Amino acid sequence: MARGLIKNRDNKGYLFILPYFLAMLTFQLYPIFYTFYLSMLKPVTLIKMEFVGFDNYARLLTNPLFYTAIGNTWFIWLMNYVPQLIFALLLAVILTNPKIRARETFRTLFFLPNLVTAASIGVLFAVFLDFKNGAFNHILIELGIFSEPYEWIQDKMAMRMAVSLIQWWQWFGYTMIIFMAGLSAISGDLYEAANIDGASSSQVFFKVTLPLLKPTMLYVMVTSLIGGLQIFDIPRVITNGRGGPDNALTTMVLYLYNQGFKNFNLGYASALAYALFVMIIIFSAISFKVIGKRD
Amino acid sequence: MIQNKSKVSVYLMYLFLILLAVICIIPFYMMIINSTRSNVEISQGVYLTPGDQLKANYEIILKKVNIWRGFLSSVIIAVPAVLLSAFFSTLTAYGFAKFHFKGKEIFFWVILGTMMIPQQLGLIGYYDLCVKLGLIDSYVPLILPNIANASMVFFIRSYIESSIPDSLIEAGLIDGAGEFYIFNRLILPLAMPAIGTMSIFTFIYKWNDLINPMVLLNSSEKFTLPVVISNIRGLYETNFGAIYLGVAISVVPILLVVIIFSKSLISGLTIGAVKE
Amino acid sequence: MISKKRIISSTLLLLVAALVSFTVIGCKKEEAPKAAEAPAAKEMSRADYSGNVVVWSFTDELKDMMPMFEAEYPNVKVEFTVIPNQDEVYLNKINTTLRSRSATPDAFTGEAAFYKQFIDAGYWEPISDAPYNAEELVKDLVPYVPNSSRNADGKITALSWQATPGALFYRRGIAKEVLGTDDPAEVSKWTSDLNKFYELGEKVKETTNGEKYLLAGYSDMSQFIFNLRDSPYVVDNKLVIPEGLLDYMKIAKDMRDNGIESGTTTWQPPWFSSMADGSVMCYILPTWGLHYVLKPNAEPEANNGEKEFEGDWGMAVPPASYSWGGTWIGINALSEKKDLAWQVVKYLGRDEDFQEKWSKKTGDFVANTKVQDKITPTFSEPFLGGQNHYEYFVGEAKKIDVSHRGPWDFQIENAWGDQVALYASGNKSFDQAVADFKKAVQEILPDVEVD
Repeated sequence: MARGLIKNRDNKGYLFILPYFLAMLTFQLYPIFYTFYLSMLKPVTLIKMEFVGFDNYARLLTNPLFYTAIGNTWFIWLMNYVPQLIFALLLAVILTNPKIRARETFRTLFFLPNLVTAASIGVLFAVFLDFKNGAFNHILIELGIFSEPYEWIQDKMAMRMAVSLIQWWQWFGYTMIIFMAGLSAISGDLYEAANIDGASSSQVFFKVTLPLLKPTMLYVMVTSLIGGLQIFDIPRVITNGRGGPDNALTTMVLYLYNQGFKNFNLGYASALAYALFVMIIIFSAISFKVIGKRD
Repeated sequence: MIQNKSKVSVYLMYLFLILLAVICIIPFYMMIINSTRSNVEISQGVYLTPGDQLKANYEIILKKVNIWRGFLSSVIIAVPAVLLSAFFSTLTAYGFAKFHFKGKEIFFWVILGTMMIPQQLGLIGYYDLCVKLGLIDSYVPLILPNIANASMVFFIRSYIESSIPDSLIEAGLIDGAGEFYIFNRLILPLAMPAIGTMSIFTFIYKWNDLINPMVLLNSSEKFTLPVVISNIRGLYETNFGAIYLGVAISVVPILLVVIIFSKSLISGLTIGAVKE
Repeated sequence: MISKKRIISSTLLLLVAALVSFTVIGCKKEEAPKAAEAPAAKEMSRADYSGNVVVWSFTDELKDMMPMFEAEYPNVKVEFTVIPNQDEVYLNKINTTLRSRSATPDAFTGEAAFYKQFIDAGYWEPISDAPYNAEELVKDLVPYVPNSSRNADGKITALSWQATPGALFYRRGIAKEVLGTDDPAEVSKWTSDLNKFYELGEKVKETTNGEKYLLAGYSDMSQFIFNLRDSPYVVDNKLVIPEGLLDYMKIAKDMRDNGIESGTTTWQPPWFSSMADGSVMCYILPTWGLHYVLKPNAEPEANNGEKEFEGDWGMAVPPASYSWGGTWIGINALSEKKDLAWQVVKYLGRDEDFQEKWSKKTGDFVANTKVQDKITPTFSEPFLGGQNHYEYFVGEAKKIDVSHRGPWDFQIENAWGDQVALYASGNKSFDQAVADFKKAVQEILPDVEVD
């Protein structure tokens, strides 16, 4: 009887998702198609555009900077995502342990960096890393590591690492909170059962916690792909929007942004947006396949 | 012996937690310190103690912008936006998690897909749309679209899938409860830890959003807090102290929200989502 | 509790909203708003104008100007909004708004970095001919101000209240220490020629044992360097790199390597702070740079009126004449209140009474030569030790030639600046830097030949 009840109700699901899709159709679909339309245009002036078909896509695929931007984006993303994931998972497990003191305080503190806007980080950073007056160079010279100040903002690798570090700092607390919410969904009974069976805590973590965190893992993976590959704010503010040195910090969206809003080439920028869209969707699908597969 | 070893590791763990907390606080703390310092001081170096420019910075703000009106605008936008997001996302997420209708996968991917277009560009089309709908210079286009919040749906869906057993819903149905009764009385409260978490994030996002209100609103009296704060900066002059004070003022409400929702989250966590 | 009814009703509401929206979008392309009736040609007094006029600007200076306008035009109300161009927000807003053929704002401003784009796009109403007849009004203005706003048809599209010739400001204390004199004429002998200027830098270094610097950063030189050219960057669809730019790149590296500049970058926080700490001798800044940048950062207390200016600064002749920045205001070509908008533009760009008050209030250098002549003899700037900087600007303003300025200069010059920074810090060779600059130009202008 219960089975029958459940079966017959499935189509009611449409009713539950209907409001969302109405809002989406009203507010989100038009911009997405409009962007696609723009990607077929080439600017003559700020308002006059001419139709060029897929020329923008052709230009994109033959432009080395496009591939540089993809490389930069992935590099920065991986360098902050991997440590972010490790820290978040570790902290989530520690801070959901009822024996730990001041859990609530720690959690709030770890989340603080997420509240600071990119622009204010930018100013702090500029002062900190400055060539002659920056605190960082002063410290290095005091410690005798460097004998003279080093121009950090012209060093490609240092700048990329700095962006990854800031991203890590801003987001590990956020990811930690998501893992904590995911952990709270795991029934305590399972842990009790595992404890009775005499499992060690690392066994519990790998055999019970991790598999049950799969849906959360998938969420974190896919949303940070979507968000992380659209990284833009921090590289922009710490390079004054230039994406330098030598485009080392030109990520996909910064490239797109500068093309669209500084070089006023909305068509090319829109083509970039669609290229990014395709890339994200492919990697999201792979994540679903790898993490989301049911055992 | 074993006890000592584990004691040491407990201390090490606390040391690690405290160190990390310090790393998290320092820039935040510096931001607040900077709001009490002058422009010249800020550009000269890093300070760890408050200065005496708080009043001067506040006066610069008052002279240039109406920060409290901006505060009000931000509340008017962020609060309904979060409520809409929370309710409709849970509704949608529940639909995806517990009903097995045709085309479910495709619908879900469509939702995910909408997150993947960089919003910097989407805004151009969105402005166009708002012109056609006659919604320029109104709060509506900043509030209503939050009914469709893709990442919130995604998160709550996985939460409901993993934490609310079908048996619970079946029991409700057998008792003769209606679908929406079950949703309101069972699903909403049970999904609260997930809803709360996502609501905090949505609130922060809406609260800090600069570009959307800036482009969609025309009248300065409707401007939101981040827009007002960016107006503190002059064309040729920079008032870093005043800007930091503005940022500090704008951080207070999100801090409160985080702390308040954190409490409800904690209770959600300790109850243990589903004990039945 | 949220009832079933409420869900259904809200769903219905959305459905209606969606339907309505699609009908509206379906109607597509409403007719472009009809150009407003041409303003009446007959003479009207200022009180005859009435109504509301919407003005947008990226600079908050207009916030103080609009009340002055309203006082003169008692029946006109200005709805003024400042939208700073931080993160290109202003540009974004103007572009999205005007691209959708909006009649609002009625008048708006554009900055030197991007106003050529506005002109090319036809955002601003041409005002050379009737009913505006701006040609007759601009005779008293510094010529480059209206001329640089001419569109492809040669019509003026915008005016400005200011002219922005450049100068060089120096610390008198350091000048005395290094040259034994702080007399502007003597100092100018060292600063008016690029080679001598470099020599001066070496003298500063030697005299102060490397504790003080000629410049805060080599990038301070970029504005006059960019003016040192006799052709646009793009000629016949081909990129031209002026000789001056190549020299600049070499000098920048020499300055950095020899410790002649202090290693900051223009507009960065340490650059601002270097003005106050007394370690730098020269700043190459234009008219507005004195009042908006140097004064508030070099002597903040005095600038706030909390004490007297020390007068430790002087003004000398820079290695080359230049103009930097400037704000123009024009009428939205689609405005329905062009007559009122024109009054705003005319008042700011032409009105002698206004420009006189404005220059006295702010020290800004105004575009109307009659006003310049009137106030020049009495000017004395306490910050500059009593020097009459206005007199110098009058002469410099006449020399400004911006005929070679093109719509993409700002982007191209930024790209050059990026490469200069990389070369000066020793991160790449000269040839590599030039080659990479060409690549960067290709990104800005994909159809231009760079080799």
